[in-house]
Amino acid sequence: MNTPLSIPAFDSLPNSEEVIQISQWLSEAGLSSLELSNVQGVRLRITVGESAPPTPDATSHTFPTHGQPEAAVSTSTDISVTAPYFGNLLRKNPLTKEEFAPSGSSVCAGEVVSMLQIGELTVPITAPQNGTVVQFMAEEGDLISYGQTILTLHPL
Amino acid sequence: MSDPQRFGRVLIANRGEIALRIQRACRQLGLETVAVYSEADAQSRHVLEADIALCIGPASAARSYLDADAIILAAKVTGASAIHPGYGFLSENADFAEAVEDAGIIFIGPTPASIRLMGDKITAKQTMQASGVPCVPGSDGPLPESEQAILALANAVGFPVIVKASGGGGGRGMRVVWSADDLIKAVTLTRKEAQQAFGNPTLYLERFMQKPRHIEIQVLCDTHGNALWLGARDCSLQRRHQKVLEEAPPPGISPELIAEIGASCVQACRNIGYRGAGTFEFLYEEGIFAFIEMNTRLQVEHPITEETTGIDIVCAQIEIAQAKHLAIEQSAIHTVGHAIECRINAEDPFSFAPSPGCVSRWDVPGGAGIRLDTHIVAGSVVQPYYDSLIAKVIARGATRSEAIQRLKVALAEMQVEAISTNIPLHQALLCDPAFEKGGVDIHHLEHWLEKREHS
Repeated sequence: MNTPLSIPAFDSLPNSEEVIQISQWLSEAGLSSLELSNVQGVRLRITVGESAPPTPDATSHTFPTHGQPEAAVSTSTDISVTAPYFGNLLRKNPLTKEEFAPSGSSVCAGEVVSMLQIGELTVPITAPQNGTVVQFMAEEGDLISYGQTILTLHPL
Repeated sequence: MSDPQRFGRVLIANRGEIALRIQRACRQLGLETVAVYSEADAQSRHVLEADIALCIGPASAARSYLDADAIILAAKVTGASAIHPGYGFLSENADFAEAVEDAGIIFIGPTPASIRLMGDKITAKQTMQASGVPCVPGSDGPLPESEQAILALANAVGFPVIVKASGGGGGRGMRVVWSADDLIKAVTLTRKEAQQAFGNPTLYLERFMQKPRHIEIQVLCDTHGNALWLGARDCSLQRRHQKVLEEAPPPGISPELIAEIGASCVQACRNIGYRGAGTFEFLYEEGIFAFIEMNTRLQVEHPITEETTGIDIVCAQIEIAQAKHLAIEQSAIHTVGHAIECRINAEDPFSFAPSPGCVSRWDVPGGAGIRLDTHIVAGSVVQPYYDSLIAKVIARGATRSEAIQRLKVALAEMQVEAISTNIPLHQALLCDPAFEKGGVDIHHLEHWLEKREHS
C-alpha cells in the first residue's frame, strides 16, 4: 500500500537557507517545483532550474496574521480561485446576463464569482475569502477542467 | 458513399498505455478523441495529444477514472457520443455500461446484460456448459449413494479428483483423492465432515487440476451475428494472479484442439448475443480445457493476438460499436508465427516494491518484429496512485525461438533510468530452461522466484 505523504500546514515562511535546502531536495527528486497553500490562502511556490522571477525574495514578504494582512502586500499573495468541477464557464448570470464578479469588484467569502455549466447542471464557483477580483484567467463559455484557475483574487 | 457513422468523437475513459493505444485506433478510423484525466496525469502523452482534454478530478482514481457520473457528464460537455472504457477501472462495470447507454452514449463494449451474466461465476459457468464450452469435468451434481456408482464416476472423470461439500467454501470441506483405492474412504470422511460443519452432507466431485496452464481464447463479435475467435494465448507466467509474460500461440497444444475450443466459445457468444471483444479464460492440463471465466473487455495482452493474426482488435471494437459488419471470416483467420509480450512495470524486479518517480532516461528498443506499447517518454513521471504498468514490449518471430531471441535483444537495448523496472526479471525468465522448453504451469513463476531467493 502506498500512503501518500502528507505535507503539514505551514504557518511561517521558510528562511533562505531552508529554501535552498528544499530546492536541493526538489532537484534531487527530479521535481521542478513545489507549491504549498494554507487555509488563509497564502501560497508558497518554489521552482528550481529556472532563472529567478523578478519578484522580491519570497522570504521578505510580510506574513499576514490574524486575518488582518497589510493592505498592499505583494501580488504573490494573490490567491487562485480554482474550478471545483469541470464544465463550461459562465461568468455571467444566465438569467440577468450580468457578470457575477467583474475584474476590480470586491467579493465576500462564499460569494458566487462564476458558474460551471455541465449539461443541464450548474455548479457555483465561490470566493474562498474576501477580496478584490484581480484578473479572470478564462473566457465565457470556455471548457474548464477540474482544478483550473478561473480568476485571481487579492485578499482583503 | 460510406455508411453514416454512429459517432465521430470518442471519450477514452482510461489512462496510461491503453489510453494512447485507443487514441491511435480512433485516429486511424478518423475519429476525434476526448481524454479525461486526473490532475496527476495532466502531462501524460495521450492527454497532450488528444483533440480535447478535460481534467475531471484529483489523482485519486475514485474521484477520476472510477467516477462514473463524472465520466458521463464529461462526455456530454465535450460532445463525445461514444465511450471506450479500456481495461480495468470501469470496463467491466455493468452499471456503468448501463448508465452510459441510458445517457444516449454508445458504450464500446458488450451489453450491460452480458457483463452482468459473465460477472457472476455461477451463471457464467452454467451458460458456458449449456453452450458446450468445456468446464472442469466432474459429477455435474450431487454424488450418487452407491459406492459402485461413485467409483465409476470418478474413473470416468479421471484421477486425481477433488471431493467437495456442496455447502462448503473457502477451502474447507474438500479433499483431493489421488487413486481409486482411497476414494470411498475419502468420500465417507468428507461427507461426515460436511454434515458436521455445514449441516449438509451433499458432495460433488471434480477433476483436480494440479499443474494447469492458463490458456485463453480471444473472440470478436459484431451486431449482425458474426462471431470470430482469434486464436489462443498462454498466460501461465503469473505472480499473485498477475500476468507477467504472455505468448501466442500456446506452445505444445495442437491447433486442432484449440480450434475445437475456439468454436465452442464462438457458439457461446452467439447464444448470449455477445457484442464486441471478449476473452474466455481456461485452465488446461493434459489435454483438458476447463472454463474459468470470461473477461468482457479488451485485455492487456491483446497485442500478441494482433501480432499473430494481423487483426487490429481495438479498431475492430470501435467498428463493431459503429454497427459495422466484421470484414473478415473465420476461415481467413490464421495464427502466423509466434508473439511474446513482457509487461514492463515500474517496480523492483525481485522484491516487487513499486518504484514511482521521474523517468530521466528512456531508450526504447526497435528493429524487425519489435513493438512497444507505452505512454512513457523521457521526462515522464510514473505516478504512485495507479497500476505500475509502464510499457509492453512485444516481439514477433516466425518461430517461438526467433521471438525469444528478438525479445532478449530488445530488453537489453531498453535503458530506463531513475526508476526501477522489472526488465531484469524478464531477462532472467527468458533464460529459464523450463520457459525455453515452453508450457510451464501457473505455479511455475512463484516456485522459480522462491528457488531463486534461496540460492
